[in-house]
Amino acid sequence: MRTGILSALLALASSVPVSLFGGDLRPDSLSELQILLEVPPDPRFWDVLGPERYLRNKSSEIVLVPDPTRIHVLFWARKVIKPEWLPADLDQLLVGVRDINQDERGHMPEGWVSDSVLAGYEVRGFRFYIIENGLHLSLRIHFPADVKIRDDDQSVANSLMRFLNLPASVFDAARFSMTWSSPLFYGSVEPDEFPPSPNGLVSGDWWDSLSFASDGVFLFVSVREVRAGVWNNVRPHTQPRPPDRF
Amino acid sequence: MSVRILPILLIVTAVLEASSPPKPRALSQDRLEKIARRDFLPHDFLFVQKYLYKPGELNRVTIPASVRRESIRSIRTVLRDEWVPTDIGRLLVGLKDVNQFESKDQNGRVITRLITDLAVARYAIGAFRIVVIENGLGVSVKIDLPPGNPIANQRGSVKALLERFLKLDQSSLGDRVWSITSRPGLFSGSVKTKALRPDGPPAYPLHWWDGVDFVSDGSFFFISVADVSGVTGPVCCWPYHPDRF
Repeated sequence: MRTGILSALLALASSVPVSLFGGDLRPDSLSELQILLEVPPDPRFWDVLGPERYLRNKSSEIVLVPDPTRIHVLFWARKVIKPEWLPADLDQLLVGVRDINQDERGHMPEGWVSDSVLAGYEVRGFRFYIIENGLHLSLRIHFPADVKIRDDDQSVANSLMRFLNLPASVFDAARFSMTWSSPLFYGSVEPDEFPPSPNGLVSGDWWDSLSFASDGVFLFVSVREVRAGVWNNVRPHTQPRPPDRF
Repeated sequence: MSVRILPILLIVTAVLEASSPPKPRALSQDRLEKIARRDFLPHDFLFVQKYLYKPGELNRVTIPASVRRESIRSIRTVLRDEWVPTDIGRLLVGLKDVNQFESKDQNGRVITRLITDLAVARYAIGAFRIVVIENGLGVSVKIDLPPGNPIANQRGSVKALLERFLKLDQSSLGDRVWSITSRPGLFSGSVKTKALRPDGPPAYPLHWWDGVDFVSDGSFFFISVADVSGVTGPVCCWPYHPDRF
C-alpha cells in the first residue's frame, strides 16, 4: 500500500492523521519517548517522533522538497537502507517540513531549527518512515504483528543488519550501549576506539554513529550522514547545526 | 556449596601486604584508563585496577576510630552479611591522599584531580576474592569470581550477582532503568531509578540502591554504590571526597 502522495496532499491541506503514514506508536512507548526527548535534549532521538511532532507543529510549514534536497535525501536513503526495503517511487513520497523547532523548551541559547524531509510507506507488511534533517538519516520501522524484536544485543544487531547496508564486521569491535527503560530499550553502536585524529575530528563512515530505539514492535534507527574518508565531527556533542535548506 | 555455609569456611587472608593474586589483564592499563575516562566508570574501579597490586606506591595510615566505625557501617549497609568478615574492622587499611583521577590540558598542566582517603580491605570467602573500598561517599566492591563461573554481559546475569552480594530485594531492583555498554574485553553499566537515569536531568538518590554501577570483564565483578545518608542535593553537586584522615 502506497499512501505517500495521499498523505502529502493531506498534510498540505490541514492537520494530518499520522496513521496514514508509516505507523503508530503504542501510547506507553510514545509517553516514554516524550520523556526521552525532554531534559536534556538528546540529538540522537530528535527525529523519533518526527511523524507525530513535525506534521502537527504549528510553527513549521509543510512544503515541496526542492530538487537539491530531494537528491540529497535519495542519495542517503539508498546508501543506508537496503534496496529491498525502499519503494521504487521514493522520490514521489517525500514531504518537506520547514523550520521545525527542535528545542521547544529553550535549552539551547541560539535555538535549534531544522528543515526535515519525511516519507511514509509500506513494504511486505513492514511500515516505514524515513526522516532526514540534513545531518541525520533516520528510519522508523513498525513491524507486522507476528514479528518482534527482542531486547538483547543480538536481536537488535540482527534487525539492524536486516534493514541497513551495514558491513558484516560492524559489530566485531563495536562499543554496544543499551538502556532499558520500560517499555523502551535504546542505545548506540559505535567503534570501540576511533583512531587518533587532529582537532578532535574523526574519520569514519555513516555506521560509526548509529543510534537505535525500540519497544519490540517498532525500531528506530538514526545515523549521521558521514562520508567515508572525510574528517567529520561525528560525535553528537560536537555536531554542527542542521542546515537551513528550504 | 551453598552461600549459607560459606562463612563457616571463611578464610580471611591478610591485607595489602599479602601475596598478590594473579590479576585479570585482558585489557592494558592504558586502555582501561581511556575507557574509564570516556565512559565515566567509577573512580574506585581505576584505583583497584591500577594501585591495589602496587602497595609500595600507596601511603598507608592508621584510620581514626570514628572513620573506621563509619566505614564499617557503610560496608555492612550495602554488602550481605555472609560476604563481610566478622573482623572487617581489623582488615581495613587506610590509604591517604590516593590520586584517583587527573586530567591534563594540552600543555600537560593538571586541570582536574581527585584525591581521596580510602579505607580498603582485601579478603577471601570461599573461592571468591573480595576487595572492599569505602571512600567517604560510597562503597565499592571488586569480586574475583571463581574460575569457570564467568559473568555474561546480560541483565539476568548481572541482576543475579547484584542480588547475591548486595542487600537488595525485589522492590529495590523493581522498576529501574538498566544500562549496559559492552565493548571488547569489558562491559559496564548501571541500574538506577527512572529519576536517576543516566541520560536524564540532575537528580539525587533517596536510598543507596537507587543507583548501582558495575563493571566486569567476565572474570571479576565490580560494584559501586553511593552512601546517600545525609545527602540532600543532586549527585552532580556532591562535594568531592572528604579529607578524612
